[in-house]
Amino acid sequence: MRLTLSLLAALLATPAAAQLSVTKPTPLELPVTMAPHQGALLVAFRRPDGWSAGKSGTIAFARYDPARHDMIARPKDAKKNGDTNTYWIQASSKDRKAALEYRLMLVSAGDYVLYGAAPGPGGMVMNSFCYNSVTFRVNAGEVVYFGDVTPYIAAKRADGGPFYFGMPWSWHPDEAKAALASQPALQAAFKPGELKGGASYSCSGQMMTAYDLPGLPRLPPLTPEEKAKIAAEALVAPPRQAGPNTAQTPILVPVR
Amino acid sequence: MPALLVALLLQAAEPAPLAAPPPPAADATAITTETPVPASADSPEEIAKDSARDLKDSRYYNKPGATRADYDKDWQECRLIARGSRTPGGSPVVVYNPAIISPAAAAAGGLLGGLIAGAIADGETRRANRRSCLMYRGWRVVEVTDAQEKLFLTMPDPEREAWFNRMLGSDNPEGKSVTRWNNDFAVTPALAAAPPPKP
Repeated sequence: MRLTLSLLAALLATPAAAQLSVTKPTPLELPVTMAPHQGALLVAFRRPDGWSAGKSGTIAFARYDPARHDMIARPKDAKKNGDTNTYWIQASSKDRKAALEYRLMLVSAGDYVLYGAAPGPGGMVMNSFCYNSVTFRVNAGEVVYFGDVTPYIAAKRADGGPFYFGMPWSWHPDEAKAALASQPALQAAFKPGELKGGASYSCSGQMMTAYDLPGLPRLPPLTPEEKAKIAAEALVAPPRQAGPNTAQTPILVPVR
Repeated sequence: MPALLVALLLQAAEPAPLAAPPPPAADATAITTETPVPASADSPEEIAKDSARDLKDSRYYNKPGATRADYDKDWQECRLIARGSRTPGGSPVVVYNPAIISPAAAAAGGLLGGLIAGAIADGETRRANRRSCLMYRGWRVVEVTDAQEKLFLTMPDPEREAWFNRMLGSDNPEGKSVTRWNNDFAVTPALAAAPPPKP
């Protein structure tokens, strides 16, 4: 029995190869080790009041190219080519009765953009914050805290307006760091995310909208010259078929 | 399903009395471009004809100080964005890739993914997204009164078009209500006292 548990613990502690889509959180109760090319994204579901109590939610992120102001979609042949970059991160809440629950997602290093969020069950994100969203970078070895989100479904507004549906963001880095207390290595790697606004990208979700976080520094808008350069490059070597910009986000070989 | 989801999104857009002052354009720089719309085969006349479809008898767009040319430019850019053929940052999307059309659909895969991708291409959804794009750029949707709507029925087309062209840049648009984009999804509005927790 002891041997089985040891084997299980060792297995769980083994760094997972980066995944193209990360949809399962890494349990914080078990030892976590990141592979050399990996970092982690930490996000929390916070339920501070009666309206959010008992509500579930999902939040999604996509790989991003801040120089082009566009997301980097997963190439069609990513799996076949051994591409282990993370292109899609989707974190869902699990215990809707908890006032606070953290989700640790192991991802490949790189830039990401908040893609969409959905209060409620189902685990699907149908909106896209393509008009304006938030981007941040996850470096290898870092645990990057994005912030907390709170699911609201049909909450009553104080002014009597229409029912409120939303997934507002809040910032509690000290609590987030404390949540990693059982894992000193992760806690040492903790870093509040350096969030930047003004991150737009190709609109693709069913519901196109924006997620404006006031007060953030912003990505500089593309200049006309940059737009022309992107358009010209796209005609010669379509970036989304060729995969990510290899100079910035190297194709990673799976750890075997 | 698409209609329900779009309705939920638009629910966040608050109707307000017409007397309310116009808000500053909500961070519209993110999707406002200084360059002409690229890769569009549409002539200005065709764009104007198409954009007039959203200056209907029952509602129209308004942005104080804007001209019809401003409206046509934003309308066309938002049309391309909602189609997925242009990024809000202003660069064209050249290559078709299902994972771009919806990463969520690609992640879901199978039948569900197909349903999502199909819904995105739906005309009604595109219209709703064009509307949200325009609203994010600071355009407000004004609902006309019943009396105005009846009047438009008897009005000659040129006269009616002139009325809408005048109203779309007016500081005091005529109508019964105005709806503007808001950032509630990201920032909690003031909420009523929550009901007591269930035992």
